[in-house]
Amino acid sequence: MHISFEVGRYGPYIWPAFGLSGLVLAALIGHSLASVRHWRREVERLQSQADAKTK
Amino acid sequence: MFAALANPDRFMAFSRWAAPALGVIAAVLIVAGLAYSFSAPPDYQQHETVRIMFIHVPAAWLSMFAYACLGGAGFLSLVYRHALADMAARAVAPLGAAFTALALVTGSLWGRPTWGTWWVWDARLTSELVLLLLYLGYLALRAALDDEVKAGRAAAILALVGLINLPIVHFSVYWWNSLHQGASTFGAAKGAGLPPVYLIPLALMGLGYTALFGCLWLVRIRAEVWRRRAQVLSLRLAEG
Repeated sequence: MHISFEVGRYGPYIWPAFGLSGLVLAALIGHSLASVRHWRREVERLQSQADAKTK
Repeated sequence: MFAALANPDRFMAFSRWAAPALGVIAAVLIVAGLAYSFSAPPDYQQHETVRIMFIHVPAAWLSMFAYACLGGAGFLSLVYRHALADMAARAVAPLGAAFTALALVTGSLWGRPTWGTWWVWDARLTSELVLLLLYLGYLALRAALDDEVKAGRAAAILALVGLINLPIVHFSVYWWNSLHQGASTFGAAKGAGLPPVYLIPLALMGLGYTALFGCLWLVRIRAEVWRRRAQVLSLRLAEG
C-alpha cells in the first residue's frame, strides 16, 4: 500500500472536504462526551444534596 | 432486545460497554479507511476528486439512516409512550443534522470540479436539503415548547411525516433526470458497480462512520438519561 497525499490541482476541493468532515466529527464527539459528563456530575451533585437533606 | 433495552437501567448497563466498544471499532475502521482512501489510484474521469466519495457517501448514507432511526424512535415514543424512545429521538436528531450538512457540503465540494457547479436544484440535492430542513424543524420544534412531553409528541409527528422524504431522496436519481450518479454499490446496474480498489475504502469508511454514529448515539442517550434524572432530583429537592 502506497499512501500519497499528492492531489495536484484538486487540493482546494479535497482538503476542505476532509478538513470539515474531521472538524464536524471531532465537534460531535467532544460535545457528546462533554454533555454526558456534565449531566452525570449534575446528578451526583444533586444526589449528594438530597442525601445530606435526609440525614 | 428492544423491549429489554427500553428499561433505562438496563440500557445504561448495556451502553456503558457498548459505546466505548463501538468507538474503538469506529477509530480502527476510519484510520484503515483513510489509509486505503489515500492509496487508491486516481479515477480516469474524476481524477483525485474521487477521494471525496469516501467521506461524502458515508455521510449521505448516515443522513438517511439517522432519519429512519428518528422516525422509528418517534413512532415508539408516540404509540408506546416509551420514555427511552423519546430520549433516543432527541439524541439522534443533531447527529442526523450534522451528517446531512456534511453530505451537502462535501457533495458541493465534489460537484464543483466534477460537474462544474457548486449547486444545482436537482432532485437528489434538493431532497437532501429538504432532509436537513426536516432535522432543523424537528430540533426547533423541540426547543420551542417548554412542556417536554408535548414537544416530544409534536416533534415525533413531524419526524413521522418527514419519513416520506426518505424514498424520495433514495429514488430521486431514478425518478427524475439528475446530474447525480445512480447507485454504484448496493443495487448498482451491471457494469456500474465500483471496482474493489474503491469499494474497499468506501466500505471501511462507511462501516467506520456507522460505528461512530452508533457510539455517539448511545453516548447522547446516556446524557439524556442523566439529564432527566437531574430534573427529577431537582424537583424533589425543590419540593423539600
